[in-house]
Amino acid sequence: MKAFLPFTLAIVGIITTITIVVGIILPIAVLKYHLVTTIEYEYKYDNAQLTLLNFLFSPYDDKHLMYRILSEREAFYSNEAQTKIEEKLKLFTLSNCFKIVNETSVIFTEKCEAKNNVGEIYIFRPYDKGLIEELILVFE
Amino acid sequence: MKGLGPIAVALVAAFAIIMIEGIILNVFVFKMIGFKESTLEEEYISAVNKVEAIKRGLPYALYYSYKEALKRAGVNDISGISDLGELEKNVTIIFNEYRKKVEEKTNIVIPAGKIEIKTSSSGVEVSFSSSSLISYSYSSSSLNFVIKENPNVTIQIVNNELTEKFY
Repeated sequence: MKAFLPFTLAIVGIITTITIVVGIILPIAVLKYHLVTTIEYEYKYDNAQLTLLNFLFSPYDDKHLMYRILSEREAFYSNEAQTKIEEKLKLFTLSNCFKIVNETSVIFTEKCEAKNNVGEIYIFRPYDKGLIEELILVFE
Repeated sequence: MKGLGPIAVALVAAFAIIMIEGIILNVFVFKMIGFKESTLEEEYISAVNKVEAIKRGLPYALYYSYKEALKRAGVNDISGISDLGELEKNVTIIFNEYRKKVEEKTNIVIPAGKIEIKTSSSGVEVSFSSSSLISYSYSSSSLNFVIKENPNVTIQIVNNELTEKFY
């Protein structure tokens, strides 16, 4: 019986050590995973936001910027405008899958489900009760 | 001596485990500090972009305020206006509505300022100037900052149409 005591002590010691190690490392590992996920999401958000900002202030033609076309889209929207928007978005997002939405509706979309990069910008919206609109760019 | 064998093994094993844990913890902690700083930086970049969009949108809001003031005065062109001071007042009222909406929706404060309208043979110049700055305050448990931007803007209106060459 006495011979088993060292073994018992050794096993209890190792189990205690492993429990403490797992108890400390596991929460930190979970926290790290959480931070990595957050940072990845925020990086994509900033990237999409900057892409949207650059897109909005890029020239539409020699008189207007994209900002004007989207903020007064009822007045400017045409098939030609849609084609130009599509071309520009392909250039800025380096993707063939994107959409522009606001809080309630889809403004421009390709025939695909973009959901990976999401960035939002507030634009001035004349002749609208709210006077300001949140534009959201989503692309793959 | 024979009985000490397993205890010695257990001690060495426990020591090795603690050493490995120490190294892993060290790497984790330093990486986490870096990650946390990056997250805060990204929060800052996002706020800068947000303020930048509002700042760059000001010429459009100013142009709309001007057009809307003409419409409310019942004219299509500035040639139909006899009192420029009255027009400036009306542009200010409409522009102030926009300022309020921006603050309500985005927490970005566009300061109150003065609107001036000048006419020349080449067109109309509408300017907004303020001695204060556009500001956006962000506050969380780990980060507080204020972003400030110059709100002053001048637009050119030629043939009743905004000249969109601001940058």
